[in-house]
Amino acid sequence: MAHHKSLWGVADISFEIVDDMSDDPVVTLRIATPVGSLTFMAEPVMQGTILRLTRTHVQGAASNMIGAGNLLVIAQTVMEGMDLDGLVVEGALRTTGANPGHRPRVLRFTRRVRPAPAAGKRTS
Amino acid sequence: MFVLRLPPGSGLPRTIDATHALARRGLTMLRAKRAIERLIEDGRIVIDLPFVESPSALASDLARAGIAAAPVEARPTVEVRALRERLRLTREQFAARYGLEIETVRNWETGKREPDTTARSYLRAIANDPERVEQAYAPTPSLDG
Repeated sequence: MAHHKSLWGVADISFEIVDDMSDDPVVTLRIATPVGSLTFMAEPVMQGTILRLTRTHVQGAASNMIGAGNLLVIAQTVMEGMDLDGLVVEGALRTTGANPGHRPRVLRFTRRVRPAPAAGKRTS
Repeated sequence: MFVLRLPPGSGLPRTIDATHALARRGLTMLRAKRAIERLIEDGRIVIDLPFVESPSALASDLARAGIAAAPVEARPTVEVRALRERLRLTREQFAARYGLEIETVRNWETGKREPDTTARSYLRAIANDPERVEQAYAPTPSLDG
């Protein structure tokens, strides 16, 4: 698959919050990526400007083809789209895979401020 | 009532699809999600869904999500006399072996009384595996005797 190892840009990603017609504290995010659609379902907790997604499930044809770099791009897209400063993703229990019966590690993302196109060279 | 289970070797179920399938049948999203999580942890759950258009439609939806679903009787009945006779026991023997009152067994067999939920579950366990239930019920030998 051509997209497997390439790093995506924020422009490659779009997402929508699925309206499940419920007042329950459960959110479903559908994310379009270059390798297909991904769906996240979690119980969200807002902590200031940081969104913590607890008991998160991920589903989609592309879920095992993303890689850490592109996961970061997805997180940046969601944080920018929802105007968040941080995103914490806590997975639900695994049944299969590398560690059945264990919870995956917590993923923490911080929103990066992207330089404006005309900002020129970085002088860090 | 339905029993949901993860077929052996079936891999990770599509938990989100499964959650939505339960939510469409009247569970709140949170209850549906938690039910699927219990299924993942335990491998099997029994669940009551408020609206099921047809058991086959539910089973089909969940099968696509990698989950097996089958209806279960909410009030399973056990023919006590038939069970006792299958085990070739008198009422007295049956009652003694499984810790029941003879009068209770008689009432169940004659239809004078119905076993309650707990008793039905116990009778079903006896029907499914009479030897093991007998062993499980048998008094533990005293360690100092």
